[in-house]
Amino acid sequence: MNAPLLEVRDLNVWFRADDGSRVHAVRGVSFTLDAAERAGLVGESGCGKSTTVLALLGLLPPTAEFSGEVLLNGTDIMAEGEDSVQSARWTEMAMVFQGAMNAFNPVRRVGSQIVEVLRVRAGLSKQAAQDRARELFELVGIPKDRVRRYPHEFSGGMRQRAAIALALACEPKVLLADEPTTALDVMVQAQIVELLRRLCEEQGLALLMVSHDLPLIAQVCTNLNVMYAGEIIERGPVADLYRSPAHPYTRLLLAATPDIVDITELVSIKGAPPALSRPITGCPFRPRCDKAFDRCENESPVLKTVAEHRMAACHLNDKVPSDPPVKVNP
Amino acid sequence: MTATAETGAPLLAVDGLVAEYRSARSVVDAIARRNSHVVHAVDDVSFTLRRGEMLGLVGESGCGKTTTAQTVLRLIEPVAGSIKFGGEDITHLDQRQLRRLRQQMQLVYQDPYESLNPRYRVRQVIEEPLRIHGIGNRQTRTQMVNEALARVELNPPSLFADRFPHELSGGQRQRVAIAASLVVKPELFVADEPVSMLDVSVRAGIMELLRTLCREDGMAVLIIAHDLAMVAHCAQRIAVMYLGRIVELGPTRQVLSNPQHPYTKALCAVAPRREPATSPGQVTLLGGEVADASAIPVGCRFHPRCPIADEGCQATDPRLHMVPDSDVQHEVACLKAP
Repeated sequence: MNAPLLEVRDLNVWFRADDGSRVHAVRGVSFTLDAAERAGLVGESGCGKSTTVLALLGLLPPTAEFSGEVLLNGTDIMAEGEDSVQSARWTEMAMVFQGAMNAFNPVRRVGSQIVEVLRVRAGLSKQAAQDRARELFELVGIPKDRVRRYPHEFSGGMRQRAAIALALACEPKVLLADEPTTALDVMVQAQIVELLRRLCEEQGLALLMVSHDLPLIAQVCTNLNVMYAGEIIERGPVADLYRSPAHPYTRLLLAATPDIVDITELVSIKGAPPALSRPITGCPFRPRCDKAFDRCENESPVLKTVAEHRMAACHLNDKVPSDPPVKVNP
Repeated sequence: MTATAETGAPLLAVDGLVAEYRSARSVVDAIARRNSHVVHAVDDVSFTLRRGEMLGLVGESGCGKTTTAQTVLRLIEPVAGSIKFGGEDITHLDQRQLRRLRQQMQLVYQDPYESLNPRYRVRQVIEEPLRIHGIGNRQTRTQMVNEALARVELNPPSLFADRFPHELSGGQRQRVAIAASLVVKPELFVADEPVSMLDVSVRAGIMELLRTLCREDGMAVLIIAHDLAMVAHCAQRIAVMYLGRIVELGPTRQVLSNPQHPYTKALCAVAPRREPATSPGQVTLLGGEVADASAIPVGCRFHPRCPIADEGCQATDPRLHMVPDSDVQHEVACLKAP
């Protein structure tokens, strides 16, 4: 197997609060992303999803501290602190931000903002950059004569398309998308999600999409990482996770997701995620878990393989091998 | 309960409701002798709502869901049409007469981070409507506040009553907002996107709470949402809106299992499922976005985005009609529907 395109090893992020306390927002996250893979990072708000992707691009606020390695094609882009990410940003890894409304400078034409990136980052001439901007607009499904328009003349969906065009400007290999469809209408959401899927397929892009919306992420991604309290607690192919979640949180999250055809009772998860300003003993999900037992109280579960391509951090999975294997009659 | 409850007359009957927004006329417009722009946000909307029933108003943003609800509550003045509440025509009541009714019709907003006064303790937030409507004395009000907190499952009430909103989670805040509405014992409860700001894990709890109020307390609930699947789980009836009109209206199961309007079909196709799409990219997506309500298309309002529109649709504006062979009240506004 080839080395992965992007590998994150033991990423930790702390935020310093005004009172001197530290909030451990991302707690030892590791994952890999292969070329042309589409992976999702899903979880409730405050679970560290966005912080994780911001850390990858070195875009954390000054109050943050981090540790861990981010290997892009085998080189640690964080080795010399956040500044060393600069060279990879936009040309290797680009990001589509949450809230397309604010991604563009409102007093400059959309096209010229893309041209600027192309000239600074890819070193194109003015003419070449303008031609490329038109190409990018067509690629994301905006009429190319719109390059001379201002952001306020775009609808929400079109602005998000333009933000994707901006991210694709320097032909990155990894596209990071942080809640790319929130604040958009359902129909437009579906269009954007379909656009992302198609672009990744056609351009061979690797995608890491962050969202709290499980069904939405399932439409785009092939692999899923479920985050809880700053940790990845389950990972695996989307279909497997849906069919047989290996962590109670994933199972409950699915049960809380409404389904338009299967109109059964919805379940809410009691309680709230733990505060990350204090150290967590035992399993972080224990207070909300319907299957918690003694061991969950003191021993924190580690993410380990539970089936082929599947990992979960839950003590319940340890019980499975102790069950006698099912005998199949010959 | 009043006599109307027994006879089964609806608590709320809205007929031919029209609401408009007028943009301020600019100096340039005035010089050029142009009129101000008129946006027809709600155009000829009719529906009824019974006690103990939950009706979901669904559609994309800008389709007039919120304006409909606010007009029904007389927070926006209707241009035409009538609103009957408990058998009484309230379309033209003045603000003083409305005050008496305000107690019976309550509204919960989308964003519990904005809708609660940050300087009020939970107790004060919930007590304020009682004070405004002059209900009870200090002692009985405390009692009522505690009951309301228990009703929204913030138990024990004493634990929450003295907190400030910032000490609560989003779900708890929305429960406080609901408690502040139901403390005055309303008959009509309007919830405008009550869960869209909340985490998925707590949404179901809020929806279940609304459903309990509806079922056990006999409240009529009008719920506004863009999330068809969420509404499908608790509303008995669904009204799908597009550009200021109701385009399909009927019992939830009928509308979802047998959608008649191409817009409803498209909404169903993109609604979240608990299983991953078997063949991603196979869903036919509607192109474009909701048209501007200040430039409503001639003919059927949906025809520029409609996959099955023909010339007739460009000329004729369809009205709601009953879906044939349906033994329930299932209506659709589409020329191509049977």
